[in-house]
Amino acid sequence: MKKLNLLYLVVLSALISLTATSDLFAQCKEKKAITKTCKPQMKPFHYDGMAYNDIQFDEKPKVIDVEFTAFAGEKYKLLFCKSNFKENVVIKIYDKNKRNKNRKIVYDSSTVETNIWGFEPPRSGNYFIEYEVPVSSTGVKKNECMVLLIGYK
Amino acid sequence: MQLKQILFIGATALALYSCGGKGDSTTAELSDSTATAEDASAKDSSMFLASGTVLPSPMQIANIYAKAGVKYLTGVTNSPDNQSKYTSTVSKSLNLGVYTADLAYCILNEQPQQGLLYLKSIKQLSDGAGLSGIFESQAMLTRFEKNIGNKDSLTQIMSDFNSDSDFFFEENDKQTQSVIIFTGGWIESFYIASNVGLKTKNDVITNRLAEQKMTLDKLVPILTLLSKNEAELKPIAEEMAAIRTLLNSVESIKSQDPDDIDFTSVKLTPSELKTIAEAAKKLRTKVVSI
Repeated sequence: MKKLNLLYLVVLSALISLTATSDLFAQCKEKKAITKTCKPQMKPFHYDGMAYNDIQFDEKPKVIDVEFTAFAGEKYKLLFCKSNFKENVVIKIYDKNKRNKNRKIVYDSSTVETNIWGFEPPRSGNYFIEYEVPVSSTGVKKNECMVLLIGYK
Repeated sequence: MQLKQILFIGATALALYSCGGKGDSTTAELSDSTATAEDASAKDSSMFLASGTVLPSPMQIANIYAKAGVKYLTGVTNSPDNQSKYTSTVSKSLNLGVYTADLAYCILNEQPQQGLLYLKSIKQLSDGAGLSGIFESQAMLTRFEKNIGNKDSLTQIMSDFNSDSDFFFEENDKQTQSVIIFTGGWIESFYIASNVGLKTKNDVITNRLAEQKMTLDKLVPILTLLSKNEAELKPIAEEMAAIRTLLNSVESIKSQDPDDIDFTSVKLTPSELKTIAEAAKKLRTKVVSI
């Protein structure tokens, strides 16, 4: 009986997760339009990959993580594009993961005027992007979208 | 390419069931700095599942190998004629990846006519795998044929193809298939580079091979999860895990902090390279023969 209850809970959790996911995806409807607007800035780099993230503004600040790998000897351009929201999502990129005390910030959007980061990694490794999502500026819960495009050459 | 969250959450549900843990990303973070490399990888994969990871495109991987000195070798790629042999969705998807890597290899090594044959096989396999939409968004074959003598244009066409494919997979809930296609492409590129590396003893190539441990650290856990529901993937996931184990046991990798590997100092010994190249060949043979 205990096993059945556990199974029931797991199935229910999975269903809730999947339902939540469906809603989540419905929220980032503008991603194609955002990408289309943003992509021309990628030139002369070649498209490598993208990441869409749903951003929910509510009464709690939060951090959203995205990770990518960069290889020494390559040049990269990262474009951070967003749907039409006024809140200031600070984007930070670290050279190591959260558990490494020696990690350094290699990009901080609060210190620059642009949504583009170009870099040549000194060595191959994983890079860790954090979107620092503030509370909703209006006090009203809303869902928005961040699009990351990565290019290389 | 991005492995999408719907897959991550589905896989996380599976992981939850098997581990009894919590699924939110906060609990996936590590607090124990003494964790072993394997523990770290397992927890990294939880974070990977819970958030988002962008994997390098097949074109970028091929480009990295080409810059390292991976030259064109006749006969090393999978024959485009083999496409009719692939009948299951998994074999079609894996070999779609294989052919995409072969196409990139041909373009970067200025073999466009051979590349065109791969593009045609890719189109046929895509149609058979329910992915014909990838080609509908643009007249890619026509563009390719018009620009056949221009490597830069062909590279741009491949780049557009990658971008359009990512959209297609995203919008048509084909994320699982996109992981399998990526896997096929990764295997083919790794096989070609290890083959050339073995023949040329080029240290730059072998160093680039070792770096692919980072991709395997992300790919193996998700493939292992996918293979629970897709029996045909199981031997592939196992062989990839075996290559990852071989890379983890490379002396110049093993001697470093698993969380902070400096790949510039990694060197494969001739014996390590031989073992890894043989494992890559075995895996690749399995993929193109299924």
